[in-house]
Amino acid sequence: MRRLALSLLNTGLALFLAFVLGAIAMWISGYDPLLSYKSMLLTPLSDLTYLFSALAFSAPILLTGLTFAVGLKAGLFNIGAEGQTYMGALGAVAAAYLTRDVSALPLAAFLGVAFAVAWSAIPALLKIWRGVNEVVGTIMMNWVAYWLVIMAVSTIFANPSQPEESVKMPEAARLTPLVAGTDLTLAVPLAYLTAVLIYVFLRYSVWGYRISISGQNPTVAKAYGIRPEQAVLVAFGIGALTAGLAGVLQVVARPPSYSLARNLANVYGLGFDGITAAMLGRGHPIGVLLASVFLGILQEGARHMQIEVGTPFEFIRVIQGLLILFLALQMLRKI
Amino acid sequence: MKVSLREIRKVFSDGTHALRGVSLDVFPGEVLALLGENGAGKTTLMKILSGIYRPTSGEIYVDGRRVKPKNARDALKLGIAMVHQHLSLIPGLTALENVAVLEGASLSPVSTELRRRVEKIAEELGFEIEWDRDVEELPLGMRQRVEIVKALYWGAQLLILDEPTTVLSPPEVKSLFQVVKRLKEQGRSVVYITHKIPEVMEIADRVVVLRRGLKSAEFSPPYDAKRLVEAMVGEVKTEAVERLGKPGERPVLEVKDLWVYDGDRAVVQGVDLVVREREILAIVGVEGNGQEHLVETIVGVRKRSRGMIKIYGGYAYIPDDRQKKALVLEMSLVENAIIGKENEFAKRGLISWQQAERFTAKLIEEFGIVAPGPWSSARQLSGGNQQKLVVGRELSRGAKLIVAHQPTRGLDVATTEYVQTLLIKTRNAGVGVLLVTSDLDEAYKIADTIAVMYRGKIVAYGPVEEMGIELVGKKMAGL
Repeated sequence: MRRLALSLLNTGLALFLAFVLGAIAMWISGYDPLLSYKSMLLTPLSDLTYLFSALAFSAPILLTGLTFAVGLKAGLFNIGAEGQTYMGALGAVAAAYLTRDVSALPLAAFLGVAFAVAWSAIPALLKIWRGVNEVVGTIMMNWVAYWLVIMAVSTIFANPSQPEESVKMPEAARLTPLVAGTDLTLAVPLAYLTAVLIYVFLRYSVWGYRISISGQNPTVAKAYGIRPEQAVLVAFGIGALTAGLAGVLQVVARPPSYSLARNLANVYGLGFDGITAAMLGRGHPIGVLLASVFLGILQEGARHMQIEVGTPFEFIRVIQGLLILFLALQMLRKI
Repeated sequence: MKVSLREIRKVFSDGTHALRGVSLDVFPGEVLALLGENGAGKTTLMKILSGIYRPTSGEIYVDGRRVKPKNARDALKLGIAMVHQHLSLIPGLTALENVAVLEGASLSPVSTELRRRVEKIAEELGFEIEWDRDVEELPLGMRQRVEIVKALYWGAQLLILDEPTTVLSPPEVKSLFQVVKRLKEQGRSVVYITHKIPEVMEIADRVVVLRRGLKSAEFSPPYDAKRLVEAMVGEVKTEAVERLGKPGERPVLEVKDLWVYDGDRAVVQGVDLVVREREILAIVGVEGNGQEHLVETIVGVRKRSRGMIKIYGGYAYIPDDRQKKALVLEMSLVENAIIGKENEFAKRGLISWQQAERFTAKLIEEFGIVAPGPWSSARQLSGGNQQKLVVGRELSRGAKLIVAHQPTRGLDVATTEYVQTLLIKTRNAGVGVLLVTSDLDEAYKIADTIAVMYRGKIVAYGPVEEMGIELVGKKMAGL
């Protein structure tokens, strides 16, 4: 209980500092911080359409956040969600390319997740066999995925009628908004359910337990028959599952385009937003859920801030960057 | 130099009352033994005197003058130095450089003047030290001597030795005692921290006993071992359990021609051994002669290079370092209690934490573990209770072989007794025990068979009745 209170206090402190420094940055640049924050934090809550849009933003952030959170449990600094999300989206686009009816939806899910898992297997195996640090391995794979997916979207999967994006999901295979006129699709409840499943997995499953033990103390794990390499593999695999799902959903359930932009705009940066969410949520799946909703609100709010107050959208990046910095400082101190 | 401590109290930030008001004098030219169990406060008290900890309250006087040493260097200026149980020389520097470097000072080239003075001090004490070798290459006994020379070089008049014999073989212990006597002849005082009664009886001019942060008694020669023990532990009530029956025939562990390398160094060199049912086989030896690699290869943590290991009927493992190798300190007792048997508590891949909690509660009761509750973290337990948790968990595996590596290290007398009794009882029930220990008393007390390990080899092996202490001591020292 005391630990929970302390960790909430720490998180609160990091948020507070990030917002204060963000305000100073706005003030120096000649924008009104108070009005900007009011517009950023309150407008999204003032209207159901805005709120649903914020929730739609939260879904992929949550899924990539879970990737990082599961990695942390296993003692890994798995920042591969970014590239795995690209690969998930690529899988969905490939499905759209292959079939033009409703069967594209299950095929998209299958291919997307399979691509992402295969992608994460490379840094995982490099770590297990050759001792390659997972940070190095996943960054490398992120960049390989980045250029590979851009190439695929610009060539075989290019949309002949709209060259700036890929082929679209066939209409029958799209997850359209649950409430007309909003961005809220099945992706949102699906992502939240995934968070709950991951929680159950980590808290109750034998493998979740083994991941925690080997993450905290691999020597102990080894001494009592738990193989840390297997835990690494499982953690990477589960992480790729959620990251891949994020990529798939960004194509099949993201109105209005239902495709992958050639510059990867609708998947770019999600993996890193997920790291913020995971750190803000202290690595706990439900914490990550709450954090991703908060980040979703910021994302949506930033647009309103730009329109209503004229403060540039980019300040949200400044605040998120500061937030990561303060949260990382706390993590470092613990180590 | 006369040093006086007055009403020293120390409360640590986690709320532990390590010292509850201890007063004590050390006179010039005397050997004062500070006797007590682990956790009695001996080391804390001396760390306060040597400037490493600050007291919560209380005063320190040197020759009647009030002093407040802020760090080890401060204390050294006053003439007080401490040789720690886990020696604190800097690896990568030679022995001589280690003498030259002082906390907070930069390392300057070693002058011939310094070398001459250091060699003179060593000669006076009868030390032969290879001054130009990296301290890491020196045996532990020699490193200890380097630390003693270092203290004297910097002008120590009062030398504190913290459990100095832990890392020594019997012949090294003898020569350490000679050194202590010589220091005394030079008019210096020595505070000798220990929990070993025979050592106290041999060298102490005076004994102060600490118990639970208080001075419980003070003795001068001639000493009565029984009264020393009583002052140390209060009243001990233990049922004596003896080994019943002869070891059986069937093996529970067979090791044949086992070789283990660490890098390109052969740490275990062709070890053969057999543990049978109802047998406690003790492997004794000075630490660092390959025991750790042997044990960790048997339980599968390390890879063997060559040879055969056969285990019949499963094993349980009590590692030598409970905090690093046996427990996940941040996790709860419940999570720690089911390590390695998590499947027994799972249905369709999901663990029933309720069932695990019931099991933990049973362990807590059966093994007398003092804990705030099953869901408190393992870190919150005292060392003794952590060990009881490990031992309880391992004995409840129902394995035919128990691999116990230093199972009583750092435990107080009562808990040591308890753990040893449990091992004997388990043995009597037909289980084989591989006990690896550097404590000869322990080996002679509970083992059926003794094997001596020296530089990666088993150099002597036989039933306890045939393995005299003289022989074992010699073999441990490689003679």
